[in-house]
Amino acid sequence: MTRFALSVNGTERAVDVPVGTALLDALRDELGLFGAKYGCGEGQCGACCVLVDGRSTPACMMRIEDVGARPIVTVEGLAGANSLSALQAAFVAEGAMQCGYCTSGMVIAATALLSRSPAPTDDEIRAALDGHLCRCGQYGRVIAAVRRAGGER
Amino acid sequence: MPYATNAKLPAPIRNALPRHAQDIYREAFNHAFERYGATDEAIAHRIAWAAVKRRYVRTASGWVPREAE
Repeated sequence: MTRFALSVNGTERAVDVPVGTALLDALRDELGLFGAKYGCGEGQCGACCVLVDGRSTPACMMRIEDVGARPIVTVEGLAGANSLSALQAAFVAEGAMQCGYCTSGMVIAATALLSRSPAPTDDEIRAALDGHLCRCGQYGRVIAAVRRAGGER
Repeated sequence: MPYATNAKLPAPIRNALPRHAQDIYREAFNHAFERYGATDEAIAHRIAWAAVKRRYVRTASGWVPREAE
């Protein structure tokens, strides 16, 4: 076991895990942050995405030792103390989820998109969410939610 | 972040792909990361997988070259 210091959702945390452990496993199993989901385990479905230094990153593909001092934001870190983020509220308003398994990854990817393009076009939204698989087929509503959040900025 | 060697690739890649496919993944990822990594690392992984899938296909016995499919 090796101790790794992580900056997660603005808080300094330490985890004792073997070298080579996936960031996703550390977040879920050691820190109890279950927002990022285990999907394909190969970085192809987007369900495990978290923000690492502001970039949407599949946590199943990032080894814990590669994180370093870069800040991590999971879906749990997006909302304020008593309110959802504008994007999360837009997802609720548009009903942009069904089973919800892919939702945290989609919200993370859309958050990264909105941070670099505050009012994205539909093409930009589709490009940013390309590769995020939703087996419930809620893609249209997800795009509408991101469009709504962009319009509210 | 870019991967200097195949040994640095994530475990799911190292465990699943043959060595040549790992080379493809690593090269494609590193180039895609250079182009898109500043904004979205997930895109670089998707591009790397797409590059692998041009030459390899997943079968019941693992990833094999397309010509041997």
